[in-house]
Amino acid sequence: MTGAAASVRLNVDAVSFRYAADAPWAVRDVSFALRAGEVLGLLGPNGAGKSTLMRLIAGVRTPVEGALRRPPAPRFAYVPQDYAFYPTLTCRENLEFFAGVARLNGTRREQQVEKCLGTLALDSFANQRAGECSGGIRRRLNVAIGLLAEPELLLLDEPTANVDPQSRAFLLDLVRSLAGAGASVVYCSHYMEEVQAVCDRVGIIDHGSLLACAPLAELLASGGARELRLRAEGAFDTRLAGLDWRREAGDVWIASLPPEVRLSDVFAQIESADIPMSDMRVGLPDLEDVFLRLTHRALRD
Amino acid sequence: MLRALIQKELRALGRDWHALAALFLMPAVFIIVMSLALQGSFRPDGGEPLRWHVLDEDDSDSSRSLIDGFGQPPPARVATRNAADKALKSRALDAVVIIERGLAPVTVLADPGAPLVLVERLRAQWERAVAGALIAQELGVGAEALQRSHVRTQFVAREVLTSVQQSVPAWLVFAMFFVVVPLSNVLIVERNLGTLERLRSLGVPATALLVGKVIPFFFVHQLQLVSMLLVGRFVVPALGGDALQLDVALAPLLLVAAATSVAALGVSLLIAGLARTSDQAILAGAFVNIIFAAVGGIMVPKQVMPLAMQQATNLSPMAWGLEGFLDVFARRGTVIDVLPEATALTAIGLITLALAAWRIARAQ
Repeated sequence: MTGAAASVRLNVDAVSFRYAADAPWAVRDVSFALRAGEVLGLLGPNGAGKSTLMRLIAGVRTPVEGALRRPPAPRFAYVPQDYAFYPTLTCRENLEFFAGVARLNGTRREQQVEKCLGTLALDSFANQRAGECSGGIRRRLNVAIGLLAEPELLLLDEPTANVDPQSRAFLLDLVRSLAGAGASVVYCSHYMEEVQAVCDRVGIIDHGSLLACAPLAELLASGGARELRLRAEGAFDTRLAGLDWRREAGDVWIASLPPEVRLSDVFAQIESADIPMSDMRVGLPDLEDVFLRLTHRALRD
Repeated sequence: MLRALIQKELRALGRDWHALAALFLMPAVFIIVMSLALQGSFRPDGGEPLRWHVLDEDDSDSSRSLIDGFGQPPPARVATRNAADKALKSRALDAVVIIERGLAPVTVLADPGAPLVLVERLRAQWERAVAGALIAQELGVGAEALQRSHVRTQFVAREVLTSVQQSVPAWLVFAMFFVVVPLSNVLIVERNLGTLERLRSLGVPATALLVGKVIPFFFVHQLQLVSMLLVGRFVVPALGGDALQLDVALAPLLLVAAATSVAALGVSLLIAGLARTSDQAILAGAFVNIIFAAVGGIMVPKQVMPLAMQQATNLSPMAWGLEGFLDVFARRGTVIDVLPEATALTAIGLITLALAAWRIARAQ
């Protein structure tokens, strides 16, 4: 085995799955690999197949086609989207239970419970029943359970759904520090800004298919040419400055800038046209644009 | 892993006050109330005596002899039919025995609310007394010899079945099936919140999950057994009822308790596995348990049912458990005696447990 192959923590090879023989594919021909210390963001709207793919990786479902390779439990951990613990037990009791299930015994069990309480800033809620905690605390407990056995591979399914901004920032920082310590993370979300903030690579999934999987910069670059947006009131010339303008929304117009076009020339022509303009921006397409181009629908559809 | 699963179930149960009430408080209350309420029905003397007087309209030597010879002390008398009616309407008396002119017929005039069994017993006593007096007149012998009872009843057990011997096993069996409440509360949370999926991802098989639920609740059942026996032994007599006699063979008692536990766990886990929500499970569990109890002689003792209904009790697993316990408490049975009920209970328990395991595996 080569060094590069040895560092691969997760290998998903042409995996397909459907819930019944006559049902549509929930996951179709998905392939990717994940190396140590890498964070892969899976981005897609609700119902795109992200959670099903996570369940397949977690071993909760078995692929109909294809193969998966990952570390065995508890060297990997699956953190489901729901609060997958016992609301009548305290935070500490939940951690103790899952530590026992993960076969952590004796001193190591106690150490890991304390460590996870500390890492997720749950110390002051340790003896509070999980069902009585706020949404943010419950999210943190959900993640803390996943960290008990110090997994090499962490599967996070919508870990920040319905949490306050502080808890969200806390969890995103945690993901970054886990990756920094060598853990591989699959981070499943439909929040583009989170994926952009924490992931080394981004996979865009829709209708069960992985439409793209590449480093963020590469994905953004694949989005096409620079774009110029401006907000103009009243009549608008769609051939202004020799560009092809299209209406994005309301009075916002957008045009692609071919590489040979100089920005200063364009600005000069717009200036000379003397149109009532309130805003102008130029830049590369963002992840939302890339997503729109690949899936032909908005991320939050 | 199993230790963690068992500890989790016990911790969850310890915080489920509704379930604890259903498992321990409800049967204790039923045992106390029903033991006291049914006390008279199970006693050979009928419990509280009937309050009755005699109206001697014949007023002859024969009638006076009949009344004086009826028992010691002789029954009290009312003077007139009006006084008798008034005493009955005011419920000062339950019945008045009217000896009409010519000694016969003798009428037992009773309040409609008086216990029918006691009224009927009074009528039979007077039937015998009047017949004895008439025959004695014909034969010229003393009436006392003919009025004495010449037939007696003897039960195969050391003593007659008491209400507490019926109530303790009946409501114990009923409560054992109520493990459906805590089992479904936890199992449905596990399924609906994705905890089963998480456990599966950690390599916990459905069989381990099932065993992790069966073991703690098996011991909860044994705790129910001990608690309810203590209620019957100490609490019921303290409130004026009969005490449960505990000098029974331990092996058949434990065998019946274990077999009933397996059946109750199987049925409860299957209901919990089939239900989609806790409310559904509790409603379905209560419905099934009440039907089992109504059919199975828990709510109404089997011996007072008509023959067809007595045969129908065999459809309810609760009846098998109850009969097994009655074998132990009333018939002083051995392991061999309780084996048919124990086998049937274990069989239904294992079948339903297998179906529940299949459901849990699917949910995972």
